Amino acid sequence: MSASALSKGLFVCEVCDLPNRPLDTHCHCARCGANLHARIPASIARGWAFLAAAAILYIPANLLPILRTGTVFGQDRSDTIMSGVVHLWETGSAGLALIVFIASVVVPGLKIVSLSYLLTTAQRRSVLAPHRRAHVYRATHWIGRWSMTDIYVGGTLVALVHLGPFANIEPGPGAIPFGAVVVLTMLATMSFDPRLIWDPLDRRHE
Amino acid sequence: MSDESPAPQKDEIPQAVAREHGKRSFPFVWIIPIVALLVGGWIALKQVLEQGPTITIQFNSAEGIDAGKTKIRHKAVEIGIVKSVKLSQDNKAAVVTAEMDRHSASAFLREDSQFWVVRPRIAGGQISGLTTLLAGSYIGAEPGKSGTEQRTFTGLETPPAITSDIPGTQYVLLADNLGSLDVNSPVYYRGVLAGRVVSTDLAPDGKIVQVGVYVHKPFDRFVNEETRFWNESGVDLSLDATGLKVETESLLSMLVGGIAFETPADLAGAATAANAKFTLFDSRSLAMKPRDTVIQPVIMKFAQSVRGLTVGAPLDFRGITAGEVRHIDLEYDPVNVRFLIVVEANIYPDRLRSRYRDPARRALPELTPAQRLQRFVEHGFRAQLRSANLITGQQYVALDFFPKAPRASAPVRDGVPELPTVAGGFGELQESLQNLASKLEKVPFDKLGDDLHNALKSLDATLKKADALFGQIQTDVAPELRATLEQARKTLGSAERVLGSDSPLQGDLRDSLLEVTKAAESLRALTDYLERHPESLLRGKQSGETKK
Repeated sequence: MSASALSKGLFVCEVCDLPNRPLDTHCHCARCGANLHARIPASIARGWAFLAAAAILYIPANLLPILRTGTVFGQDRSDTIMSGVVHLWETGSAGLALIVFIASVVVPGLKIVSLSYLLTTAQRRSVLAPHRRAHVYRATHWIGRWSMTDIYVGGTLVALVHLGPFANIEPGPGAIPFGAVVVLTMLATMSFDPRLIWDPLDRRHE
Repeated sequence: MSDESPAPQKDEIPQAVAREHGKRSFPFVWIIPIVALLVGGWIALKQVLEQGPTITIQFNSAEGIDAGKTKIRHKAVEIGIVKSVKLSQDNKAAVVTAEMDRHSASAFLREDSQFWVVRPRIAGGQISGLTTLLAGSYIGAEPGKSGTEQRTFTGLETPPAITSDIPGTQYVLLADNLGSLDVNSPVYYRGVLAGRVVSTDLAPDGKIVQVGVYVHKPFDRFVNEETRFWNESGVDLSLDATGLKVETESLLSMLVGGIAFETPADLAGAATAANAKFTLFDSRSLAMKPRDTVIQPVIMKFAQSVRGLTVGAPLDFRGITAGEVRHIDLEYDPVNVRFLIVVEANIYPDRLRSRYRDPARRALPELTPAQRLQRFVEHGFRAQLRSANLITGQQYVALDFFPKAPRASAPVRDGVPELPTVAGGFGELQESLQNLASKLEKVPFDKLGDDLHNALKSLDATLKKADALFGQIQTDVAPELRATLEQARKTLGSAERVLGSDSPLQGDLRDSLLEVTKAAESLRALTDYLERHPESLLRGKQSGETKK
């Protein structure tokens, strides 16, 4: 169980998976030339940095309107994510409201929570429930690509619905923080090295 | 080779290649959360800074106002948004809380700022708020000028007709009746739209309607103290002693009503201040009537019927309207056991005074109007009821000098002189008609009937002679017939002798004679009838019983 490459004094290339015998200085992979490190450098620090940025921007992303719609009758409305969800719910599209709510509010929130859980445990070199944490990491990684749906649909609508005076959709001030949250949580997930979950176990076995 | 030595494996594992550049000392990644913090903080700060002041407006009804959707607009620019709509504590009004735009709010946070709900409405010939039919209502706002700041307002039920950007002057018109006027009704000056009605209020005592009009800039200089305002509503149909009069104004004012004003050309009044009060007349003719400063009330007592005399009927002096009837009353005279009609009227002596008076004649003693009236009466000045219009039966009071009238004086009672009257007008006509009737009665219709009877008898005789003549003529004018008869007589000689008396010609002749006899008989019946009812010659045959 504890046969990690690092414990054998080897660095595995993160790109082409080739195990390398490391030098004392910084070194490249012998095959593909990628930078070699034992673990992603400053993984936890970068994870925290991205996560903090995401958490900060999560607030304006949810409080500011992300879409402004205007119709021929001049009945403009600008919706935040939550008001959009409420509007959808009230107008009878409960299913759609649920999808938007989960994809836009719950998922980014859960990502922030799960990442902070992973980072905290990794930082404290916790040995508790490593399998569960691995599941959480995989789930977070997998779901990252789906949390862009909202901003993607919004962007598509803005581009498509430009009917001049008849109907108009414009991105609101919340769109940029919202997109930034998605990108930053993905970056945080990427910068987190899942091998850190297992390292404390190795250390204990030695 | 059971020993699991890492050495040969290590040979298989390639050696990493050294990298030249050194280790980064600064964790640049922390720039990202700092930037995020700055961006987030800036957005939050902007939100707080752009948070405009909150105002509350009370409306009678919050119809069409939605929290979070309804906007406050001024000149179609959004200056606020409704945040919540609630009932007031006493449940009598709707309290609308709105957040104003920070940059433009200050002008609207004044004591005299106005707010109203814009809904589609039709008033004063204008349709407004049509866009709200589809897009929903919004709250209109008009900035105030007062220096006192205020954040609680009472919303107007109707939009104000004047907005701050149109210069002009406001005036107050006093009317008995509002008629078809409404807020927004047009105000015309010589047919040009010069302003609008901005308010309609009942005076506190409930007896007068106060109509506020706003006259726009170039036109308000035509308003001075002598300016007359009148109601131009619709068609003015009047029937008075001068006959039937139809006055119409523009089609629009016929439909929606309106006010017009004009200053009589010969009167130059002093300039007026804003909110000056004017009387609103019912028609142009009333408004432009010369205004009488000297009023001499008089009473007149008539013994005859004043049917057709109305309050407001003119007192006419040789074609000049010298006054008008104010009141008509009945008075019982117990001494002579009769009723008198007391007509109270105003005489405007100034109308009878020439403006082009010769100064040389100023020698006349200056008398008070009452004294002058007394003098006039001594010289035969009398009032007389006259018919103005035979069809409608309108009457007026004519004033004139009747030198042959019996002497009378003008007794003054309660400071009001009594002007003696002479019978005349329709009463006079009635009297002469009665005289005519009595003269007609003296006509000897019986004798006339006898004469007529004799005449008819001779007519009968004449007709008989005419009968004979007719027979002769018939044979004369029908020679062919005679020839035919002769022929027949020749052909049927023997038959003629047998049927002599029954010959067809003789039969025809006998029939004709019979007809003539019948005619004579009916003529006799006519003469008999005329004998009994000679007046039917004049009046025609009457079905009922006839007067003797």
